[in-house]
Formats: sequence, C-alpha cells, structure tokens
Amino acid sequence: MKKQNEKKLFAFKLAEKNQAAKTDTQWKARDGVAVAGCTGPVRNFRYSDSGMYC
Amino acid sequence: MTKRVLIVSNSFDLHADLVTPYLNDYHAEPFRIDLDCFPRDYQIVQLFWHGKLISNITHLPSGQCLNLDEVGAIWLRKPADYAFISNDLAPQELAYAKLETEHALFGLLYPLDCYWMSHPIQLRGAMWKAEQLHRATKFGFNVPRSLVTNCAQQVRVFKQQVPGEIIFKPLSSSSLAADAVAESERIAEGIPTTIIDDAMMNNLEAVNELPCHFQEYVDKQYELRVTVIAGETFAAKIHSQDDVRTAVDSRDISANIIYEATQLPADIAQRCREFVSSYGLNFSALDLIVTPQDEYVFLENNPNGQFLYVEQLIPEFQLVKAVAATLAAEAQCRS
Repeated sequence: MKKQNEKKLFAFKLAEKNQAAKTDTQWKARDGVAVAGCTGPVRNFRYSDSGMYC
Repeated sequence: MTKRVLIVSNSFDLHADLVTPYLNDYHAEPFRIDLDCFPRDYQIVQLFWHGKLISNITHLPSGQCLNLDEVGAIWLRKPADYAFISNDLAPQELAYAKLETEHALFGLLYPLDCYWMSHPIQLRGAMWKAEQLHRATKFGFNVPRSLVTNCAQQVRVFKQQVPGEIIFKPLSSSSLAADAVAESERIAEGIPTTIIDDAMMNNLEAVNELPCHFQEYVDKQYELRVTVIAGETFAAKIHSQDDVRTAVDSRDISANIIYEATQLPADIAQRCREFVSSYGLNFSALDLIVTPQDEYVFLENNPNGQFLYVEQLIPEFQLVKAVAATLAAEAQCRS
C-alpha cells in the first residue's frame, strides 16, 4: 500500500510538527524502570492496549 | 478444593512475571494464559453434558492443566493478538479466527463465579475518558475544562474562552495506533500530551475529520499517580515540574524526576476509592494534578494501568506483592 504524503488527521499533523521541531514524541526508558502509563512506546511493547484494558 | 489464580495477559507482561512468584509463595498455584500464544499453545475443552458444565484448559508446551472449577480469582491484565497454528491464514480466515477465539475464550471465563481483577465488563465501562470526567465531577473532583469535537470552530471558541493554553491528547491511543499496523506502514510513533500553539491553531480544519480531545492546560505544583488495589490507596507524588521533559506529560520516564510516597488528604483518598469502586473495579490507577493553589484536579482513570514503574521508583509501596496478596486471599476465601 502506498503511504500518503500529507497527514489528514489532526493528531498526525501534530505528531509531524513535533517531529519537525525535534521534540521527542517517544517516551524513553530509564535504567531499571518500566515504562509509565497504560500505553507504552511501540518499540518497547509490541502490543499496546489500544485502550481496551487501559 | 484449594482455589487457584488465573492470569490472563501476554508473554511479554513483566508485571505478571513478577506477581507469579508471590502467588507461588501464597500457594495460589497460578495458571497463566498468554494471549499472544492463544489458542496455538493451549487446548480448551468446554463441555455441556446433562446440564453440567465441564471446562478445562491445558498449556500444551508444559502440559499444565487447569480445571476452571478450580479458579478462585482471575487477574485480567493485558490483551494481545492471538496466535494460530497456521501463520498464513487468509485474511477472512484470520478475521473469523480472531472473532471465534475471543468468543470461545470469554465464553469460557464469564461463567466463573470468582474474584476478578477486574471483570472485562467493568474494565470496558471504565475506559471512556469523557465519561470519567463526568463521573469525577459527581464525586467532587475538579476537572479541567475539556472538549471533544469534530468541529474546528468549536475548538477556536474553546481556545478563546479558556484563560490559558489548551492541550491535545488522544482519547484512545497515545501511540496513534502504531501497533495496529505493520512497521512499514507506520507514519507516526505516537504523541504525548501537547500544548496547541498558534501554528497548530491554523491547522484546525483537520479536526473536522475526526473527533479530537482538547483540555485547558492546568498549572501544576506536582502530579499524583494514585494506585488503588482492593480499596487500598498508594499515592505517588511526581515532581513533574522539575524537568522540561515531564512538565506537560509526566510519562517520559527518562527524566530523572523524583517520585515519592505521599499521604492523600482523607477526603481525596476516600474519593479515589469510591470513584474506582463505583465501576466495580478491584484495581485502578488515577492521574491527578495538584495545582500551585493546592487544588486536586482529576485527569484520568486507568482501569488496568501499569504500576511496576511506580514500585521501582518507590519500592516501599510493594504494589506487586499487594496485587498478589489480594488475588491469593480472594482465591483462598472461595476454597
């Protein structure tokens, strides 16, 4: 499937802007500490809750 | 009959890994269903015969077997994509297989008359952010002015009427559903709670595409993560304003900010317990703000929130042990 060039949704536009501003949108790990919150970074968790049990 | 504890989660759930040894110590004989291996690595039998229900599940690699009559407590932790023996099912076969698996699994679990931490009906009922805010006000919490809309003009009006900044935060998935698509199809990794600046106010037409969640930005003195386990509150004071990375969204755990145990005012602690209890939940984690004026503001409720990071930062809480002790005790009293 071809990726669209322009993001359509507000959240994705905002994420893109954050990325452009080099703002970290990905929460980082701290040595010896699990990830905060109910949904973690995708890189650290193959599956997040998608809100189901969060 | 000594009742056992059933854990339903996935194979990469560290919380479940750490609770299990305590359950063994308490002789609760835990049995774990890892949904990312289910049904591939399990065999279930649910038989109705002459009006009697016989249900059991076997973990094929280990040979461990659980008679569902033995279950005194279930810890429903985290979901995962199911796994099947064939990894090349046609799309429609796969879609059907997922639906049937869900149905078979919960048809197996729902009849159980046992302690749930927490029941899927209660979990689902507790997960809706806007409903949480509405309920929180009924329990006497202050809540931020909030707007969920797919009307850009409403956002402009909201912004004008709110005295300070406004923030955007997703309702369902901070990872922007990145985990739901293949890596090659991923166009964003996620978004933290973000203050909406003037440039983004000029991009509001995109709001018309999909309902979005905006809130007034509430100035913070500090934040609280209140974990409620079987009616007991564990309040973590998060010094989120000490680092720019956590000032707006405290979840960036790389910032070396202080977490410390704190005592909630009695009325706030009671409010947290009653709020959680009102959903029928036996576990939940609430996020609160304490303003510079010492007001307590409810942000959201996480009915199956993570708690290991809190214990790692505040070891005295012993949340892992508290969860295990609750499950074991509740299973025991159903023996």
